[in-house]
Amino acid sequence: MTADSSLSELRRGVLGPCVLALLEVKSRFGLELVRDLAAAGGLLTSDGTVYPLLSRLRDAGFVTGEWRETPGERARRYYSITEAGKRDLAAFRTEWGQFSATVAGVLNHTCLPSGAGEKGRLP
Amino acid sequence: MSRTSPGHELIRDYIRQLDAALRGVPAAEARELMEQITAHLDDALPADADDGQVAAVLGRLGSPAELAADARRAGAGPPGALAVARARLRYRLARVRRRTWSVVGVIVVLAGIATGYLIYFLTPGSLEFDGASGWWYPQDYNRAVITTAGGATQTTVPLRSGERQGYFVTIDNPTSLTQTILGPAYGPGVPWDGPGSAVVQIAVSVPDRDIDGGGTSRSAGFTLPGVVPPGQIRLVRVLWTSDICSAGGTTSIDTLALRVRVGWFTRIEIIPLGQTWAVRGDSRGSCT
Repeated sequence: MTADSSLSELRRGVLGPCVLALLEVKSRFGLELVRDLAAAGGLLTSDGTVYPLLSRLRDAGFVTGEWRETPGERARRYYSITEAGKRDLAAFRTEWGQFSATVAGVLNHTCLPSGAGEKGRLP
Repeated sequence: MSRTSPGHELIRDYIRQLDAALRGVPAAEARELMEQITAHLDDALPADADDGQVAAVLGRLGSPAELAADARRAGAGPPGALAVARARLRYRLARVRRRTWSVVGVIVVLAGIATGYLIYFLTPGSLEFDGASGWWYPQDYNRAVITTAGGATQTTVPLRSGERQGYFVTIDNPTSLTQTILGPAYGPGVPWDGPGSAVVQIAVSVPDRDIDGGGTSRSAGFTLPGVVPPGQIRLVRVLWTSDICSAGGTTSIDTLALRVRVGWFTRIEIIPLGQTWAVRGDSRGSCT
């Protein structure tokens, strides 16, 4: 597994919670979400990834889609987070805090199983 | 409102390729993704976008094959079809408002109660003939001729044309529910073929009266509607005016059709009488 594919899988895994986090702030339409995720940097491998993900989140009951029309503009489907989505996001935040700390600890050699070595002494 | 971008040649190509790549993805998911991508392009590109702008947006969007693969990974493909269907059902159920669920719940509960009630009150057996019976009027009772043939019994009296005739029977309620006799059930669907007009008078004995057969039964008080509590026996009196046209023939009846209320429901009970009640003879005057 290359670093590229690892990151790609990682991005794919965290993109759902990131979308939920953005929708927790306010409802957004597709391109708006894509732009906000892109602006965050490094989360999107491609813009189109977001759309199948939105369908999956909707199927899971974490988001809803609603058509809204603004005068002078075309109708857009706005996505909003549901209560179930909020619960899922809260659970992910807790897990992510521990998980990312653990990963950081292992990657930086600051937190290793006893006997596995200290920084600079890994086999 | 700008919708000119999808008309761009590069976009048309992209959409065509995406359409082809989405083959095998369930139609609803494929349609939705196409709609999302079209909307994305509409929003991302100005109406007069040049080739460079279009190519840049399409490049960032990812290749049609990658998008289709994402759509399959998202659960639209066959391997996860069951899970997706389950998730979709959960999603749709979750979208139903609580008030709607309340209404559905109330309807289900009421329907259940109604069904239970129907089963409870309509399933019990009907009233039964208890074995004792006799002609009601002494002039009939004293002249009755009882014949038996092939295990069937018939009691026959002379036709008293234009006069009241009738019989009584003991009726048992073998069920655990009170049954109330409301009257005769003769009419459409249950024709009266007895010796007289269809105007049959039915009455039920009141409790604590002598309901033995024979002449003593006439001492019982009668009423209608008549209540027959569970496990109890009542006399039922059936009277009619013998106004049939007859030239020495026999007219008979061997069942009693009653309208009976059980709980909130009224039903028709047809009670076999165990024997045939018959009148024989000539009617008075000419038949028209």
